[in-house]
Amino acid sequence: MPTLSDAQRLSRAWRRKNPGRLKKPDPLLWTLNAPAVLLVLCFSVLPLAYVVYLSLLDTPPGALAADFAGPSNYRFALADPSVIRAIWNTLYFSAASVGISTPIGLAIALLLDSGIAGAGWLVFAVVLAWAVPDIVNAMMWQWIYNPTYGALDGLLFTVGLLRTYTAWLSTPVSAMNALIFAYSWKLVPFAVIILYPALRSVPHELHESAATDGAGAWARLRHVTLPLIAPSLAVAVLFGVVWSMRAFDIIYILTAGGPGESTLVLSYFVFAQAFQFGDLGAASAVACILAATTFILTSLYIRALPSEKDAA
Amino acid sequence: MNAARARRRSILAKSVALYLCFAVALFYLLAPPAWMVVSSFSPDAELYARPPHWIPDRPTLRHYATLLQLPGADAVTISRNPWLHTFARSFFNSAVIASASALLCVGFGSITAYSLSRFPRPRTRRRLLLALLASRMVPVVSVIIPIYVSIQKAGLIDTLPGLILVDSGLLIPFVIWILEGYFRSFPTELEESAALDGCSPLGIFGRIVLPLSRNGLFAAATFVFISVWSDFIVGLSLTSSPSAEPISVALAQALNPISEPSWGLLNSAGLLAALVPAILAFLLRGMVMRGMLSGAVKG
Repeated sequence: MPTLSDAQRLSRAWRRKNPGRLKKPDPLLWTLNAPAVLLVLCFSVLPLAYVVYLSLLDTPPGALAADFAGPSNYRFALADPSVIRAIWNTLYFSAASVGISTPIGLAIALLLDSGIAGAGWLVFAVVLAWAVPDIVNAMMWQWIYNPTYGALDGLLFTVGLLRTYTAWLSTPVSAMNALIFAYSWKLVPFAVIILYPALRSVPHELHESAATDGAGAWARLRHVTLPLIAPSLAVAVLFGVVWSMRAFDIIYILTAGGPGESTLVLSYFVFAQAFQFGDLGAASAVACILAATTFILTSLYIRALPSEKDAA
Repeated sequence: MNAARARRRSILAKSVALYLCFAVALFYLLAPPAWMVVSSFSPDAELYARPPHWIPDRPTLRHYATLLQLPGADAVTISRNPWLHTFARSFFNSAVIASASALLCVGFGSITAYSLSRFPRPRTRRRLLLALLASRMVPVVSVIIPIYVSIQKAGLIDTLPGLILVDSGLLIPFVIWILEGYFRSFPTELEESAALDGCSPLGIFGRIVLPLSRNGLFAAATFVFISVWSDFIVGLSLTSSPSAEPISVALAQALNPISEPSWGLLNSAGLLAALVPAILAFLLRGMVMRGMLSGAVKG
């Protein structure tokens, strides 16, 4: 039950004494709010509405004037094997990236939480990975995956795991997995940032009492820690999925959707269709499908967010 | 006696396992950027070696000299990599776009965030905030076509103001979301007493709330700066010449030269591009680790 603080009581008394004083909208305050509201409208709300509208037009490639076409763009898009391929690739890319980065992020968060000597180095590494721009990340991995002089081939060859140098980005299956591995590196710090505060909030006494009951480290992790941080784990997974739907830079640099269509994802399809082929109708229809999917996932994400925010 | 020894041994085994995990984690996170650093200091002869020279025998600053066109630059490499002439320009462009967007977003976003945080109806406020977040979690690529069309109609394609406008517009929802929570966690007692003294809402915001929330404003500004610095798709879609190109687009073009890219040069360019956000993030590492600089991550 929320109790009335002194301040609240005071302010109510004040409002009773000065009726209309706070309710009267301050014109200056309204004016000052206008720029932010306009920016949100122009770049978040209207573009979404406009892309829905565009997706319902029959737009010949290259032209901007068009007739209303109803859902035909969607029908064509969903009949296009490239789009179907992109949908499956997007699902696989997101699921695998999150499947790799969340356990690694959890492990790093656990290490940080264990108070290990040298945790400062790990913080440094996490912060560094978090700060590296996506495009630099893409470049870094392109050099690591280089088929002639790459560090990955060199390492595996030196250790004896590889007989000959391999062009990881040139065959369909390995290209997709190399892409996922490179993208996960960028996703790990986000998982750490979500999970580490959650781990820190697990009360120490619980660990101690579980330990005196004879629970080993593994049992404590499974039966004490994980159930307690399950909500944050859900936040981390959903955030990772929504975020990996945005992945674009790394695909643009490393594979451009290839070889063939093996790494074509929805975000890259939209960009290529719109800016390289000038097919705005199909691009908009797929953009809407992508937006709707992330919208649904985001509403799950928002539901998973801790609601202490609204305690007031 | 034996039991104590066994326990000591198991503690030892545990800490060995712990440090093994620690080493693997550190290697996983640091090896890729470390390889970039090593490569940027390796002379070409060692850069293109099989297996790689993990530690160069003769480290060189030549790639940096070529990149920045200082004395000691390699003239042949410069002639093969025309992007070098506009690299400094793109660095400057990114700095301008990111700083201006940070100022715009925090300047306008803070007022709206404050208004929302003192919004009298909690349910409506929560709905507004969630709608704000949901609309912006949609991938940028989904809305880039309408944005391209409108920026083109406004005549702002390939201009710095155009990029500043779009980047600010795309990030201000996150800024409102970050700052709203920050202002709400603020005690209202001070404001109440200022109101009793006859201070206007705007006066309260300007004289009491803003000075006391320097940390939050700074975190939000840094978040915008780093996000805009890292943006690629907006820059790629809305620029067509070096006059407005941000650093990310310049790097992407450097990766697609006519001949085989010069990897020593690329690694040094990439490192310089990553240095700005890395230094900022490291100075504010406490905020980074609490998720304060990650927009939607904040719980």
